[in-house]
Amino acid sequence: MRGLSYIAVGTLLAGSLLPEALTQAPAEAPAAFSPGSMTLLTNGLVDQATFDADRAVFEEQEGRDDGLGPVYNAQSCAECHQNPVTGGISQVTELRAGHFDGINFVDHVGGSLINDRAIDPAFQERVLGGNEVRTFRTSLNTLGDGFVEAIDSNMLVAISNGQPAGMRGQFIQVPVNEANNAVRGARFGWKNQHASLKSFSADAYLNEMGITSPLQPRDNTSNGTVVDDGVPDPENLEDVDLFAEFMRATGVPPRDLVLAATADAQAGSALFNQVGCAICHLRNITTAPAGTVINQGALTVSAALGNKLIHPFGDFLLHDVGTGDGIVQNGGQSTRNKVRTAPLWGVRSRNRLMHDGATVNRNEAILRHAGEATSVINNYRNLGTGQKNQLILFLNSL
Amino acid sequence: MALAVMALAAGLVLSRAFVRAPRVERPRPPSPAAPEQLRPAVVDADFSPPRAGEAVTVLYRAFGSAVEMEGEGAAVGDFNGDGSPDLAVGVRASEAHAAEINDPLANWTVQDCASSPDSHVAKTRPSSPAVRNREPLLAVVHGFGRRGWRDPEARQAYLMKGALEGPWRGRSRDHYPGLDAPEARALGDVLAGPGSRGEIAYWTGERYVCRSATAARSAR
Repeated sequence: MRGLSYIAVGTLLAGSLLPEALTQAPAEAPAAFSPGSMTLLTNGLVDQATFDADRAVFEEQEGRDDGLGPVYNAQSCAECHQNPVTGGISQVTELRAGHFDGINFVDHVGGSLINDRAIDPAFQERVLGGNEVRTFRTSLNTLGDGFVEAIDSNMLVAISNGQPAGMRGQFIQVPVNEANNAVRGARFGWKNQHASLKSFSADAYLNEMGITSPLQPRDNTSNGTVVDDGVPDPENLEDVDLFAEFMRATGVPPRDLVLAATADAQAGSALFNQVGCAICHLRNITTAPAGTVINQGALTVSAALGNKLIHPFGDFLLHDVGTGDGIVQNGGQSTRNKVRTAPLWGVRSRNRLMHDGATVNRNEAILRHAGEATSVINNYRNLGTGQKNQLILFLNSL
Repeated sequence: MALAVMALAAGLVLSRAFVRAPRVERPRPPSPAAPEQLRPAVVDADFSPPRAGEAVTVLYRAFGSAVEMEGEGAAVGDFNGDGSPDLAVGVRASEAHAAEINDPLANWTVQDCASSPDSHVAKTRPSSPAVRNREPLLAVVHGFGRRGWRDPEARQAYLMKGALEGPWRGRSRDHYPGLDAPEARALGDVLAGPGSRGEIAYWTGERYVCRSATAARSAR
């Protein structure tokens, strides 16, 4: 009888524990391209032919007949997300403005985004008087964003909870448009204004290109005045899904492995940890297991994206590092002077740094950090010239 | 033994077939910002002027021996708009320290009034690529927290070449309605320069910009 009890207990234990024990350690996420060929490769979410077709849609130039405008910033996704390959970064910035009344940030009439282009000169947006809060925002990398989307929101909370007091990143939840606006842990955009790639795609299609979709069915105004681009809304029914699929299927920005292997870059990597950069520019995050239902039920993590180890060098949380930008989007007034930690993967492709692209030198970008980052930057100041060079060399390998 | 193996296998199969429901990302309740995230970053800040010797101490903390204080005047204000008191002092590059000041990995950022977007200021400044020994500069040290520039952590520092020599003072931005113009982007208090030429400097979020005070006073 006692033997049977042991067997029964063993059965239960095996049932409850073994599946976890047999769970594989996370695999490294694949690279977006091989530095030799610069050819964009699917991460396995879709086959290469589908990926290439999605990429073509991402690169497609939109015109007036497609619903471009009435106000817009660019004619294709790739116009802003292109360096060194489609889906990467660019020097293109967007302009945002509004007013701070001493307590709250108030959007510029028509919204904080001031589009730089219009299909008619009469529609051109301008920053109107009384909107003293202004900022530029650089275009962000989208390579590897499928893995970022596959991070469990609770992981982001755990990262925040693990950060020292005074440097704790702010976790916010924002609507997932395709899930009836149910909220999820934010992770995309300089203000963490999105939690899903489909919501982000629909937002960018509308706000950067002026093209409406079922998730964003109304065109933007021109400084608050309703203007018409002549194309019935919604102007496009399918591209948002294809943009999201393209981004989900990209690999992560690959490192410069030759540079990374040098003794100086490895010493710089150790210094990056030692001075505290890695507290917010977090090295390692594991995505949720395949099969996990995310985006409030709108998406299931695929085998290609699940249980993958990524090295974003970012925590996808909001911090006040003394740089502003003074704008409030989805996160409420407490986020006014916060920006999302810039993920540093792929930063070697970027020469205009920080949220506004206004700093063009690695050392000055580091020194521009203040606020929550003050003690870390003072640690950096205490390094010798050789050590600073090593740390910057390490950054240039990312 | 055979029984044990069978039990193990049965457990494994059962667990995969019945125990494992689809894993769902656990939704989190709406989370209002914590009180420390809502309150201003700095409260009850100390904007009192420097006492004897304080400015020299702060300059040494930020710049080491690279600069020497020039004259007695020091301006206090929230020049970068973060609520924390900042300090601005006229200084001179120390003899034989120009290379240190110009080091691309220096602990401060050198900016040039001659690169100001204000053509009036730019035209009246000689532009040179680097700071020379004994060159007059305007040093600004950004504050940290309530204690501002007095806090030992306050080391974010800027050196402005081409700024007018003489005592600078801090003034409210309200005196300069011209700074409401779209291109100005003045974020904090304004540094008002010496003498009759009337010049100001202000922080844009990334750099200090020098400008004619007359133009800045005019509403657009």
